[in-house]
Amino acid sequence: MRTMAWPMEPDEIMGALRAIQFKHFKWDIFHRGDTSILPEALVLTGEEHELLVDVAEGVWGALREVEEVVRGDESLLDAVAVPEPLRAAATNQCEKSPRVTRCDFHLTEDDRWVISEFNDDVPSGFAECTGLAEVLMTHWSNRFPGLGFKGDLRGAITDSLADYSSVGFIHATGHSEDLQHVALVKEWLEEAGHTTELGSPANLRVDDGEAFVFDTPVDAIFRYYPGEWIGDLPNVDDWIAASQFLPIMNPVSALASQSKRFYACWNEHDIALSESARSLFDEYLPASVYLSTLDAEEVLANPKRWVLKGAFGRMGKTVRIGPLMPKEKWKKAVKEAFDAPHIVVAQKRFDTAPLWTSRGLGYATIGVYLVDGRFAGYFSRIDKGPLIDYDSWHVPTLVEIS
Amino acid sequence: MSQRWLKFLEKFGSGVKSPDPPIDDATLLGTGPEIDPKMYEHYEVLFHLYGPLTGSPWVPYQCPTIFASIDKLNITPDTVELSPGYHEEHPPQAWQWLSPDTMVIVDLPDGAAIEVGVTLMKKGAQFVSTFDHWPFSSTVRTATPVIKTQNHIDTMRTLAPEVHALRQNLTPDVAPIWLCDSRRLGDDMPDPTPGTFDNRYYIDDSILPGVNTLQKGGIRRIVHLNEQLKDDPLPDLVPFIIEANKAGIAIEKVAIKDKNTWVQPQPMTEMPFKTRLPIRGFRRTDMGGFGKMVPVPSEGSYGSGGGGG
Repeated sequence: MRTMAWPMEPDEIMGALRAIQFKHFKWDIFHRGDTSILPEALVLTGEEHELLVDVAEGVWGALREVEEVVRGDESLLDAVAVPEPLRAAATNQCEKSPRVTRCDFHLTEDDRWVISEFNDDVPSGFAECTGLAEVLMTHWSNRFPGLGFKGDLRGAITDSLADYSSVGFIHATGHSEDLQHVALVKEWLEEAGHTTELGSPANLRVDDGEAFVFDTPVDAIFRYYPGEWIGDLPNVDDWIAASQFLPIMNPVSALASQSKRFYACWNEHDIALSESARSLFDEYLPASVYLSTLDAEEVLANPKRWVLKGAFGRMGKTVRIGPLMPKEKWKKAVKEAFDAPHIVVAQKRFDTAPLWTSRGLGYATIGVYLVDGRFAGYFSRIDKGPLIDYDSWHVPTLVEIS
Repeated sequence: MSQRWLKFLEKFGSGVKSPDPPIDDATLLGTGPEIDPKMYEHYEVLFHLYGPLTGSPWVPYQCPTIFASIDKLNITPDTVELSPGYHEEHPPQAWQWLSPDTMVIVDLPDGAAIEVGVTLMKKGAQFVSTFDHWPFSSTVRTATPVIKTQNHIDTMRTLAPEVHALRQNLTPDVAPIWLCDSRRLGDDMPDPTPGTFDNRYYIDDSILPGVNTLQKGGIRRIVHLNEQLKDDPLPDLVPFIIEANKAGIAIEKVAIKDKNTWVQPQPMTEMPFKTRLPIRGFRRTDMGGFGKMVPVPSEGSYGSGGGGG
């Protein structure tokens, strides 16, 4: 993997960003006064691309083995911190639910690919994935000779939802960054001939075995609302009822595998795994353990060894990486974690290899989209530090074409 | 249809044909005396006119949401009757205090912020629009949106020729005016019900510059303009105001109902009470939107994060 700056003039770069902003629903091309998209690309060799696709698809399939076990056992759903009101919904959900997920890879200092996590519940970044590819390849493909974008996220999602003529789109309405995400997919579906309806989670209603967003009957839901908050909704009963018969992208059971504690559960609960699943997990997933098996003093004394993660933190919000924190803050983080061990997990830390970018040294994560378990595109980010969070830059991922 | 409008449509009308670099007013709208009024209905023209000037340090803070809705929902901006009070009977010396070292936050309901903003613009200022909400649109049913949108759009359309003319004489270093809808949190409206389209929002730090950026942009004073002098800034602005004040930036108030303050802004002698940082204090309500303060865990605890992953 290497980086390359976009071979474009500043005005051309801004023109590309403006095109993405309005035509591809990437309204937040600026963030805290800087561009949110770095005019830089991560470039994978063809072999690296094939490896990442194979591994992402393989691990995703193996994780479904675990998910099947977990969602059939209320005590396991409890162990991975799925909120109580949603456990029955995860167990008895509609079997036809389509899935979109993003698998985040990191290249380590010792040249290994490691998956920090899967974003199974509400993965973001669709506009960056599809918009950057379309704008750069339509207008500047000659600047990127021998390179191309891989995957067709739009086609994969529309195919996955093709059987459902009326689709409801649910998002947290207070966030325009969430709105831009669902508005993009909504437009894809409308252009594919579907009827759509946009609403908040409270606008879902089940009546006599039929689901509605407002008063519009829907055959499926595209959900961009964190699953762990559904239990707090006034209409949680409608959500539970809907999940039993309504295809939801993503289904409530995705909450189990969204939990960071999920990655510890097969070892903690001796869940039987196939040989191939065990092999993939051992090779590509850093070991995760419940805090109940660790000593707080040992964790406190070894900040380089562990990363503490909240079960449902997103965008790096509840990730605590010892070496990146002052001693006092690490001490506080360890105390808070051990005060609430049932909603935290400890993951073995790994060192991400730094890359050289136009903004200096950076650390990358390569997000691989999977729709129903099959590769559909990339969404990658770079940050000045090893923690990828809300402030990280988005970068396109290009693949060398032989 | 005029040739200029045809050329404009060719350039901006549909799809991405040729991504353009940042555009100035002359490139966008031409320099001749006759401008087809339909140009002022185009979302990209309105986004441009109600945003900072090209080269301004405030360009990254312009919020595109409402402008994108004009395009994506095929909304036709219309002209609307303006409120005469904002345009007439100004006391002598009103708004003379406006200078390039001043950031103004105009926080008024619906289109009033735009109308007052244009009044200020006559003294030399540029806009940063913060209307971060989406209209309700459905082909099959109607619903009541909490925050109305059409009045903002129509007011912008109505005043667009005037704004266009005023911008001709401005430079990118003139005072920035943040245009805000004081109803964004929905506080003075009934709680949304399941048949309501909840499009409340808050102004977050992607729309507000940090102290360093303010100082680098030459800002030495922030004037908060709302309806009444006794009203504090809304809670989403409070941390920003307190932080700026701590950094030595003067904070002053103007009330649209107190014309004396139009002439002489009042110092904000007491900082508003900061309850919580907005990012933590405003969680999704049980309606899926924002606007209600609820207890949340401390920053360092393992509470819920926000949005997608």
